[in-house]
Amino acid sequence: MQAVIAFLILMSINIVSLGSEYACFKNEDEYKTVKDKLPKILQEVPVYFAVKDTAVLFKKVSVVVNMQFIETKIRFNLQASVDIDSQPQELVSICANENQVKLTFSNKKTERFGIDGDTMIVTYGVKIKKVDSAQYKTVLKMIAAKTLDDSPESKALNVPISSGAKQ
Amino acid sequence: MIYKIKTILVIIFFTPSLFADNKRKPSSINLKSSNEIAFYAKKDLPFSEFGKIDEFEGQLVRLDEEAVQFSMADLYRFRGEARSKMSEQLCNTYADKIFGPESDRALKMKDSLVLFDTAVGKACAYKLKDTYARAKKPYAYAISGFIHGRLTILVWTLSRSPADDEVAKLRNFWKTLK
Repeated sequence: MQAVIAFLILMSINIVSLGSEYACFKNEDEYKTVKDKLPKILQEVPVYFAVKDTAVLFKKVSVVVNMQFIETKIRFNLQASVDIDSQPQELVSICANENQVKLTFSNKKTERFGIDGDTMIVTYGVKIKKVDSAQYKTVLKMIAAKTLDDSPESKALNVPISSGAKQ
Repeated sequence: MIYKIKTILVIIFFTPSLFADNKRKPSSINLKSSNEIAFYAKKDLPFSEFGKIDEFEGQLVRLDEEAVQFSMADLYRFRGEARSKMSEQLCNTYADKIFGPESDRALKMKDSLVLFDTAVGKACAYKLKDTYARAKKPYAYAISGFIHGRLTILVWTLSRSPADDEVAKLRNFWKTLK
């Protein structure tokens, strides 16, 4: 039943046209070459997105995304305040045009997100807005506090953004 | 009039799901254990399937395990595997399906793969370490085997490499699954 609702919500909100040709990159060097062809929200890295307490499947969920280069390799981290403790999948490449971002993972899975100005429309039609690193950290702390987690590392919030963030 | 009927039908059919408990009975996934377990389907865990292959079904939670990271595991089940005995090769093949080929990923197995005996034949276990230096939880432990004839894999995400007694505990838990 919830799947049907989720599908309807997804269909009604997350309809994005294919638009112009994709520009793709796997690492910092490739990013520099295609940067001008990328949508405005991806023209600076690191980039942060966040949304607080948005309704997803009748629950309130907070979501953060950060994209950065670590040792020139692209990293795209998505974290949501759901009771799940799971190994994030590794990203191979990002392709984007004016309307859409396509993520390809090492296990061949792809995810497509819509773009609307300074907002990314992710799974379930959730809209996450581009924010600065301070706002990103505020929401990330909320998520960490809510997510079941017993590791000292995550309690200390020693998350990957520290190196790439503009403090 | 038609709209009124439609509205009433929507209310009748959709309202119960609004109040449904997301915790499902373990029996709903045809898995049982002598330990107390619960199953959370991926569709009830928003974003849990982000970047994961379709065979990811949700999280299997052991309710009598106090350490959170050892209590929650990603559950994968695969259809159509003709082989019915676990081997190192089969184990590697499915690790690659879940995480991508080892050559292309930061999660490395580093010769940790071992086969161990269960009541229904061999199962396979391995440790993974994320070589990405700033990973939040850089370790994982996975067990792969056949349950009810279906290739089933559990993956625990860990903040440190599991100690021998912790590994033994995870394997013993696997052996209770039917």
